[in-house]
Amino acid sequence: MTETTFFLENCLERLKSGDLDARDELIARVSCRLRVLVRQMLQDYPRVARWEQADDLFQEAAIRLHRCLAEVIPATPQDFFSLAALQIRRELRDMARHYFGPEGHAAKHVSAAPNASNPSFLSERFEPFDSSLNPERLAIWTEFHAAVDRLPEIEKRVFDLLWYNELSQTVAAKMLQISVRHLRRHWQSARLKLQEQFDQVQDKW
Amino acid sequence: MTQQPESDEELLVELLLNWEDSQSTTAPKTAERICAARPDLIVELKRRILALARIDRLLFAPAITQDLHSSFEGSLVASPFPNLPGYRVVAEIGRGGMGLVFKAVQLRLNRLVAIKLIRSGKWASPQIVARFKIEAEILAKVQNRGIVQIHDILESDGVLCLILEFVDGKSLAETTRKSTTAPLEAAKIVREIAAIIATVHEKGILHRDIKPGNILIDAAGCVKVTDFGLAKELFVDSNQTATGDVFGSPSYMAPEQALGDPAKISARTDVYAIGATLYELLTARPPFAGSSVMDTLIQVKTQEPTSPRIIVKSVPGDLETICLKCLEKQSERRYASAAALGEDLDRYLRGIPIKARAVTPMERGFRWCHRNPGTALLSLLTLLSVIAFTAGMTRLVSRLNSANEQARLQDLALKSEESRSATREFYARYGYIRERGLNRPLGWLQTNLDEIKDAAKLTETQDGHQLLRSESLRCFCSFDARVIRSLVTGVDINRMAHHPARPILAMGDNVSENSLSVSVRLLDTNTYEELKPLAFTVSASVGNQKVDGCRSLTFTSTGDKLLVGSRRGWIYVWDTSTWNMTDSWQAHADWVIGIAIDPESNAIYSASSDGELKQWDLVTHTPLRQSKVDREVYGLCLTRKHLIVAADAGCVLSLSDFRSVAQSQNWLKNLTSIAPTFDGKGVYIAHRERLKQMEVAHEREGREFTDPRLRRAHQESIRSLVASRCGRFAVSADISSVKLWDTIGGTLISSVNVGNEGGKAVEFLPDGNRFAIAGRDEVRLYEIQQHPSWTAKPLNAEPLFDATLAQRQPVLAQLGTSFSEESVWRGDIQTQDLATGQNHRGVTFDTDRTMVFSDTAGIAITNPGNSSISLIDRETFSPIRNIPCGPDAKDFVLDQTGMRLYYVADELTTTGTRKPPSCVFVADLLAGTTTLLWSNSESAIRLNRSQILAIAIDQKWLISSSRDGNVRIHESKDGTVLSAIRVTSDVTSLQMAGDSLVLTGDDRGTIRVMRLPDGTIQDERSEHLDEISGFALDDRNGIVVSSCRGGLLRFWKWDGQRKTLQLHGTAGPFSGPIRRVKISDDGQMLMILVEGETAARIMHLRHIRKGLHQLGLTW
Repeated sequence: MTETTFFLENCLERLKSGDLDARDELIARVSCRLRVLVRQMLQDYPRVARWEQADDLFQEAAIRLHRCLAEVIPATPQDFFSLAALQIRRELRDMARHYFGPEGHAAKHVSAAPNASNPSFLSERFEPFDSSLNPERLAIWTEFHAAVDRLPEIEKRVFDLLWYNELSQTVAAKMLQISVRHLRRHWQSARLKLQEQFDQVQDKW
Repeated sequence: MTQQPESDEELLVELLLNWEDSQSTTAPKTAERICAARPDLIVELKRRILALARIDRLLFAPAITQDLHSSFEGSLVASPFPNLPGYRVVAEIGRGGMGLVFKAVQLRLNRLVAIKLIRSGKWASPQIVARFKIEAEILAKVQNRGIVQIHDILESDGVLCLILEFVDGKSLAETTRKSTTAPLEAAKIVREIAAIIATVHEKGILHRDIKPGNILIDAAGCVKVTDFGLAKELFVDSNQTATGDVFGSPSYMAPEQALGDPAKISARTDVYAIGATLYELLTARPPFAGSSVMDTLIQVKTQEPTSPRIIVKSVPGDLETICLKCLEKQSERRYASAAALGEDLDRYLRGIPIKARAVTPMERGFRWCHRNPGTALLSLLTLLSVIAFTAGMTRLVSRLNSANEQARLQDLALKSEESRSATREFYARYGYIRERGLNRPLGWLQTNLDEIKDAAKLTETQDGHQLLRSESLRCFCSFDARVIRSLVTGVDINRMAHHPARPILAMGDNVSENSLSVSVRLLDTNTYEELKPLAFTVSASVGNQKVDGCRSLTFTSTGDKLLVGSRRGWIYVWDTSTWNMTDSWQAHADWVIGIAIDPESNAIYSASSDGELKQWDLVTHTPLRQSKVDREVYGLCLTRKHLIVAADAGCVLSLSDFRSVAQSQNWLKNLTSIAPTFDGKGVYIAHRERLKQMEVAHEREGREFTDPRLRRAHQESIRSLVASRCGRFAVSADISSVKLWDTIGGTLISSVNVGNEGGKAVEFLPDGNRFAIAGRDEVRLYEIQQHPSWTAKPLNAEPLFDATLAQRQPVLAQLGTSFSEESVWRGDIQTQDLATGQNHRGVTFDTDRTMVFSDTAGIAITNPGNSSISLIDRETFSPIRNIPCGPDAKDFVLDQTGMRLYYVADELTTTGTRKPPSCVFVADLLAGTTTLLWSNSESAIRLNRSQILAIAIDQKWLISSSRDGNVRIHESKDGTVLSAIRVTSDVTSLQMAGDSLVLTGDDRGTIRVMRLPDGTIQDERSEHLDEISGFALDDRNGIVVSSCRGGLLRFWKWDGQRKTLQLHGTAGPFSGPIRRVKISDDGQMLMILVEGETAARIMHLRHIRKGLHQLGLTW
């Protein structure tokens, strides 16, 4: 048993017995990764006050996870990671639609591209150029999370553990009770399947 | 047993896994080699390799654009971790002059690696980038288990990274820091180092930076050499170093390296460094370590290392001999190669005689003479001259044979060498002091004062002392900031507010890692202990959607309440005596982005980010009025009469009726941050990255604050802004830097790089000398440092019109402009007794521009527009009388009685047109009359050269200088011209210097001491390069101060008998041209009025003298 699984099993036991603090600890476990993924979606770190909404969004995602755990207590650490990954995916998809879709808040804000003749790259308008508002890029991310949902079950579980939850290959393999090489096959297969759907990703990036 | 793949698909999966595995070895295989048995699968395998690389770029793309540049000392937080595709960085494990090293996990292969990147990131110069690439190439060539291996070189987001072998162990530097190493152990380690370096030399590569910090001992006890950042391939011209370049670590540098001569650097240079490493292992200190880099380099070049056995008695003689042979100054005397060194160490370890031989004392002496032939010759000449001039040759000869005389001669020779060394060192230290004084990194002021004190011991010359005095004056007249406390909070602080009376700093959370429990934290700013947090969310309330975060924070003016505006639109109120929450209400639908409290109207003003503005009753919290702006709001602040809203399209509302009084003006557009000035009449406004001062009532733009390196205030949009209540400082922050400003002069004091949103909130403590910066995870408190030798107290936030000292009493008067209650412009006037601190404040006319302070008559203020002199009472400022003066009167000078005021003004001609100010008048302040004393000639007027540039007065004479090239001496009573002295330049300043002398300063910066009445020049000095704007004279103490329009002050030693000036020191440049300087009658204070500043500066000359004396400098 690894330290991670020990910690999680302990938290889940406590949660089953009604210890609500355990829920906070579980959420703290995934918060860091969730924050990274939220910002990855926004590409550039927010440079003006309004983009502190990234923190707001992160907290919204954490709240949903919190409510989800109030309704469903995962049986095993692996179930917890799957649930966390699922909630993260849903939240990021919803976030993209809500804030950056056609009727979204950010759709009303225009950012000018840097003037090629201006080496300082400060746009004429207030907001600095933010490539995350590229609708194609956001559509790609939205579809990405949906595509992960559609992976075969075992590959989705491996992806959940290694990418959404950032576990090491050794720990993930133990959790799934398979060999590391077997895990690596699924990891490879999952990535190749995702790439097949995003052949144009590199061109548009 | 592994099952064989049954299909091509399964085989391809295995081949791809094998390919991934081979990438982590020292000999990665190509797809062709992997598919050697099935070449038909090569194309598909390559396609999959490419596909994985592409998806991995998406999966592991950087989430944060990292600013890795950190050129300022006093960085608020450690460098953020880089985010590289395929790697997860775990920790920073080292940093050197050029690079940062991180421990990381290579995700694909699940192994630990070390990532080295250039410290300055994408701002690295081409030379540094080229050097980095050379390091990578060299590492790839030196494959040896004793050298840290390179796996890969990557570029990510413009930053070059080396992926290196991770060594789980410690460096030798960590060992030697704690204690000496046993001789046998030291010999074994250094033998291994020598063997490794020998293999490197065989490949034609020199390391050039061997030192304990670059030698690692892994968990198995194996030695590994690392950091080939300064390595060089022999016979390859890389143009990376030029003659004169000194690179490496000074304490371990061979003399030829310290001299910066690349042609002389060879394998023996590395041998020296290995010897220095052995020295440190044996003695726990390097062979040379001065107090500065220059000091160390001088020691390396000129001194012999102390024998290790003198430091540690138990060091074996043979090992000391080997060590000192490596450290020979002349490279040909060292081991010829690292291999030879290794062989001798091997001999030592095997207990057989070593090849190196010890150096005798006689040989040591000869070598000293050889290195210092001049000094040796001097010693000989000294000896001969002693012989020639001393009586009793026989006695002398016999004395010469004694050991005492030999010691004395050697001492003389050594002192000469020391003197030359001291001079060299003095100028080297002075260079560093000056450079630090110009660049002003955080903490520079105290460092410079310490360095000045040390440098003063190295020189006894006037020139040397004068240079140091000038740098001392720079320190005395400047501000600095230092960190006094750093607290890791572990939370993301968004806003701060300090209690107006108690030592409590309230810090509002934004979003915590837990994300469900947010609070306001209270910090005791005396003890720096955290008091109880004020929570306004409870994790159990999540289901009720009461999760929240702080967006604004303020105390009432009495401090009895703390108000917090939240992200969910709520306002929470705490009683600060009990710290119980007493009220909360939903004030807005969106973030409460700002709260301000107006005690006069008993109202709370709040603004939400969606543009809603509301006024609430301070006691009942009931809504009173509301308004709206169209665009997003970022903040608000109050002046005495107005509410100013910072927004994309800001506005100004009158507090009396909450109606908009300004909303479409340019200055209201794109305001990102705003803070009130200390006098409540203006604001500091941030337009994105620009920072300005603004007077609100008349919408008058004040000065702009500019970082001279950027030509604007900040690189990014300013997010936080606060001004001190004393009116002397302001702090502004963008996403990556925080800047401290001197609001008196409008100049930058310090800039701190904070990175990673480390500067989200800034706040001054009530004393005005301390401020706090907070952001992610950390709060830092800074103290502004200033020498006690000067003070300045702003009248208001506007530049002064004039300032002066009373004739004989230590009373300062300042005249400025201000907005009054009745919407009519008024002048602000204040007198301050500098001895007692008592001050009086009043109003005058807004058009009053200059003043003089008569002890007997009162304060005379001139109003050029009205052509009159207003005499007012010095304490009540009530008018005494008005005295008419000519148009555009200027250059007012009081006589010694304080009753007659001389000035220069226009005169109307008979045809009604005005002459240029070419007449001298005198006003009798008691009688209230004005008399024309003298008018320049009509011919000069016709030639347009009649303008009078300056006047000076003493008991006997009135002196005037005019553009017609004459300095005239007049009878002071009636202005009769007694004589005229021709001068070759425009004399712009005059100062009577007693005993028929006058100091003149011209438009070219030349000062002359002129004897009257014949005009003979007694002394002439041209240190100033700008127009002389004024003089101040303290005859009693022999001090003259001259000022110029370039903003410099020069202090002169005035010898009234010899009638000469000797430059004593220079202060400045100040923020603008110096308009006026005046020394108080008792000689204790110097007043400096700089154009555009909001306060006159008072230099306390007694403190300056004391300060210089403490530094070992004379005054």
